[in-house]
Amino acid sequence: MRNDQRGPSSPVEDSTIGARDQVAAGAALIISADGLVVERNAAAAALMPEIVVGETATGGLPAWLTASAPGDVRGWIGDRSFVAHRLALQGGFTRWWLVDDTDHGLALRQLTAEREHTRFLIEASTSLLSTLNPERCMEVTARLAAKHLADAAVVVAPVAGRRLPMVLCTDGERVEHRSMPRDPATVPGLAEALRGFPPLPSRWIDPASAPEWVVPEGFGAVGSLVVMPLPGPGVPAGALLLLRSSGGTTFSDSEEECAVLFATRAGAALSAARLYAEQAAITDVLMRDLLPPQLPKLEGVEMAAGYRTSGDGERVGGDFYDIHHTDGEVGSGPGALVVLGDVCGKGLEAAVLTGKIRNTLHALLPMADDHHRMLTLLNRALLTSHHTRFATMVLASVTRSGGGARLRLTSAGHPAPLIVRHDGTVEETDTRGSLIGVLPTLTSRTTEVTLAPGETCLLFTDGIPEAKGGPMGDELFGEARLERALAQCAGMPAAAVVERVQMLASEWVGDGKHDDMALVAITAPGGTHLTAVDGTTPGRYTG
Amino acid sequence: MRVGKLWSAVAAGDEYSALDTVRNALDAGLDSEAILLDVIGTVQHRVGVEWAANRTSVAEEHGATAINDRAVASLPQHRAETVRGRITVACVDREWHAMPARLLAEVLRLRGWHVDCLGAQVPSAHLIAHLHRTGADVVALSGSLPTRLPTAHAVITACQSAGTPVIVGGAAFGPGGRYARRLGARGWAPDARAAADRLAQGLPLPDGARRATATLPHLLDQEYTLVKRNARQLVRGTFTGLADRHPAMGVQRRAAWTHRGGPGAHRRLPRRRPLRRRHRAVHRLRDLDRRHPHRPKGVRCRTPARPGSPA
Repeated sequence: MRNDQRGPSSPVEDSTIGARDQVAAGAALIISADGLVVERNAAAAALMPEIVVGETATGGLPAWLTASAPGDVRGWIGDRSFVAHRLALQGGFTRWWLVDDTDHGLALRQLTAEREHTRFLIEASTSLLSTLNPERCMEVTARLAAKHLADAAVVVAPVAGRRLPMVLCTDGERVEHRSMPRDPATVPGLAEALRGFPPLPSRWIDPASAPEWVVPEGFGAVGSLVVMPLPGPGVPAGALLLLRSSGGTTFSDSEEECAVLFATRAGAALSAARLYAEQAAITDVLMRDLLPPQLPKLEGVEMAAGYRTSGDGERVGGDFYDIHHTDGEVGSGPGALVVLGDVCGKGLEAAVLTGKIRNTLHALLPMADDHHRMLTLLNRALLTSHHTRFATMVLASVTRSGGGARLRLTSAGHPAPLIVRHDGTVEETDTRGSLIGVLPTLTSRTTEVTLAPGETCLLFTDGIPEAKGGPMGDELFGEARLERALAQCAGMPAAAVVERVQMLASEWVGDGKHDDMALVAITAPGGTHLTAVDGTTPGRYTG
Repeated sequence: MRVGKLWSAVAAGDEYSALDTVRNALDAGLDSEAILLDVIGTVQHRVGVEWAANRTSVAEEHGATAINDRAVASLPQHRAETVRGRITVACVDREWHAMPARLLAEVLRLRGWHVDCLGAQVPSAHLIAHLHRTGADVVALSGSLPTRLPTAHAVITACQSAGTPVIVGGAAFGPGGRYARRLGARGWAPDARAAADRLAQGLPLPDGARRATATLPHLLDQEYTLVKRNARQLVRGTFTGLADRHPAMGVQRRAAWTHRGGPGAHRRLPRRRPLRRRHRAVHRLRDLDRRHPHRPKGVRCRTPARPGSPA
């Protein structure tokens, strides 16, 4: 087939067109060295009727063919495109074969365009799927549309209050955010597109009717403008405006089809991002009271806390701590009640119970002087609730005394707090008690401890000594190792003690599984600063 | 001179003198950025040097850092008039050196960024959820320990595939930030000032089509994955082997391991030991493969199930 079009496969040495070539589909011409048409076949006669055998060819031949460029040339005759193959013959004759490649070229161009569209849609899907933040998703949509579909793109979000948030992009890189109190009804079709349902086709609007607030700064005159809904499943996702500047090309059918496919993907991504944002906002509100609290300050006593949930993706777990200001006992000034506990189980369900316990304890604050009574009431409350979980906890009433701090500690089924003395000895406090939420009566023993300046009392949950790991991966961190670590922490500020213990336990666990870990350090601040003030400084911070 | 004053206050654990030094510097007209980086940052660097040289105890090092942290907090909070953008500053998961990130966060705040500082050891899942919630424009990741580079790589990849470019900094990323480029970070800076300048120019958007193995070809043969997955069994095997051949040795090594641990443990180990161990580990795995060619590729070196344990 190909050979037929191109002529015989063997080189033609004579300067005549054979009988077979006379009826070939391709046009054939033989031109002598002085530019006279020697012979032509039927196809050539039909294609170029002006050419007459025996006369000069220049008048009837297209200019691109007579140009003396070596090798094959390509050009147009009428509305068809041809490839002209040149063959030099003996005696200075040249034979031209003209093969029509209009359809071939068209197919190639369409293929290239389709490939570009597919590549663009894949890139779009990848970029759109990667983010769950609505603003960022709008930016990605605007960038992609401006880069591949139009000279400028505007993504309009569904109306938020009285404002119309939108993202504009012209160069496919930088984006501009606008949020203006504008009525979407002023752009034809925009209000309908923003409602999301019923589904609408994309709509061409008169560029002159576009208000200036949808045109990016410095864009110039708008040549064509299309409004496309971004269809989101269930949730309106917004609308996409594509702008082309005047003087540029308008949208072809295949380009519009591609834009619609893109709008479908962008709409799905945007509505997913919006749903995620809504859910995240709900979770944030519900979780606010379950998160570890900010520590209030207590004059003369340093407190610091650390928390790590069992799952890295979680923010709340079964461990909890709280610090409340109390009036303190008679004659001892203001104080604080520190609570640290552990609800059986982990994850969100356990966290919900920690919230209840924290609320109950908050309500019981007026009797913070009597730990046993407080725990008994809490025990009763837990026994009568529908939760089958139980809890352990330790209460610490902290008051300032002299340069140090006085602590009353009561454990209810919880590991006893450890005291780090300033010389590095570590003491276990003498307090024991039964679990909360299991037995109808509760036993507990309260102990009193005094911290001298620089000494620390550490309250921790069993997640720390029971952290499993180490070089072999199956050894517990253990109380002994915790005590050794604490012995190095003599004289350290509370925050540093917490960080050190947390760090050692986390290093011990490595990548392995672990329980929730919570710890609170209560430190009587060291007195070194009093002796170190050299008298040249303007004053001391007292806060 | 101010560095000297702050250093002596910090070394003595004297918080009030430290805060006075900072306030005097402010009164003398030093700007906040210079105090953060040239005074507090320099002192913090010296704390690290002293610790690495084993001249300060753990307690002193932690205490000094805590005081430096309060010195940072004592600086006045400037609010820039124009907000440049929103940036999330975080440390890699299990990276406890929070101070460099803290200093960067403060500098960026002074330069007009809306900063969310997530602090030390941020699990990757938290960071990504944070990005989705806040839609930060950039993530600045701080890493001091080279042993956390694989985690950093995972975080950089996760952030950038979520469309947020990452700038990294810290000793972990090597001289000239050579590991930053190989891990695919869109930016690197040697210090907080350079990072702020680099961020002011704007980071290029991440390239969604990038493959990690283009710059890290060693990941292709899964050697790292296999060694990491079997690390504990390999350590156990080494210890058991040692204890079998030299009973006394086994006991000693075990005790030594138990006391080591914590940050810097890798620094105190002889340099070549981990490498040799790694190679032996790989040879053991390859041996196993040769001996059991029919073994499924995904399942290697599994310990036999204990009697009575669920299958």
